[in-house]
Amino acid sequence: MTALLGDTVRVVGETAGGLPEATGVPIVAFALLMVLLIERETARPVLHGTRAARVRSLTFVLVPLLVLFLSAVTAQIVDLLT
Amino acid sequence: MSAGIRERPGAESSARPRTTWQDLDTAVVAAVVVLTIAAEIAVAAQRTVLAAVLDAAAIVLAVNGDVIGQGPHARRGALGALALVPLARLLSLGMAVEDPVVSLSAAGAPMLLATVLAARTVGVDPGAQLRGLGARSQWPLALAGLAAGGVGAALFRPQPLIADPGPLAAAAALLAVFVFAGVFEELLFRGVLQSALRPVGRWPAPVATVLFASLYLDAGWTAAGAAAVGGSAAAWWVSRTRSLAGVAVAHGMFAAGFLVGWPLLYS
Repeated sequence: MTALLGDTVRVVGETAGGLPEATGVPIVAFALLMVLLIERETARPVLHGTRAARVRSLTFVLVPLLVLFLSAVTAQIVDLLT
Repeated sequence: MSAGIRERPGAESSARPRTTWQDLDTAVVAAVVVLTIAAEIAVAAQRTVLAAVLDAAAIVLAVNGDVIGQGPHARRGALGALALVPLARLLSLGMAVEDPVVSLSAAGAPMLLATVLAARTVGVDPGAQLRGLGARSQWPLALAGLAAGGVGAALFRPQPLIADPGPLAAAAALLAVFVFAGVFEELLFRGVLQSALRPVGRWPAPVATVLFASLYLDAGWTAAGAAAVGGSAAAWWVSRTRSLAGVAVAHGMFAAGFLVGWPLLYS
């Protein structure tokens, strides 16, 4: 058993791009990425000391979202070109 | 932001109880856990967009709680680390493709990287944790995972993860499941979260075990119950031996055997 590969994930994978449900998840993830990046940039000049360090240390949340964003955009471009 | 909030209640008596940073900290943990479990129920009902929205809300709450808060969890980086659980689900849904091994690897690799980065934030050294496999006490547990995978596969007869039983495809599937089920999940739940969250009595980090079990709701209540029991046992073992190595290898061998190795042998 693995948490990252449940029944629903496999169903979504089999219909990848073919159902609104399958394309809706990356859209929510992009919106989340935008919110977190905007928050980070607006907080940067305001926060100092420990809180500024905490903001910097939370980069680990952005990394997977950026990977998801790049892979979804790449897949769409490849789909358009082929 | 700090109006009405203070680090500790003062000695003076007050008719109205005042909110402390610790109360806010606990409220954020509870809200993130509730949102994450609600998202997992939505996943089990195949309402993936609703699940993604709930997961996104949990992530925003956890990240902001970590930056703003001054309670014990926020100071340890536990609130930010909690965001990894809904993030894992969001990524697994967003990166899903037809080939399950590619799906698992595409979601697992960035999540493993994020978990290693989060481990540094909460003061966990993943390398040192996993090097404990040299200890003799860790090996029986690791091998028990392989046997448990065989028993589970014989009882439940799962469909093999791969259609092509060629040696290269089988090796790739075994490796992907071992790393992204065993190493990743144990590093996240028993490494990062168990270190960052506080124990309750003699139960190490029950919040981490509850979240771990909730990620298996999609596979049914039996799987979630088994994950709760297995997660509690793993949490106890890690707190006792101070090493992740045994449970990571046991979980990896169990998952790789249950999903790939034993079904291929049986078929």
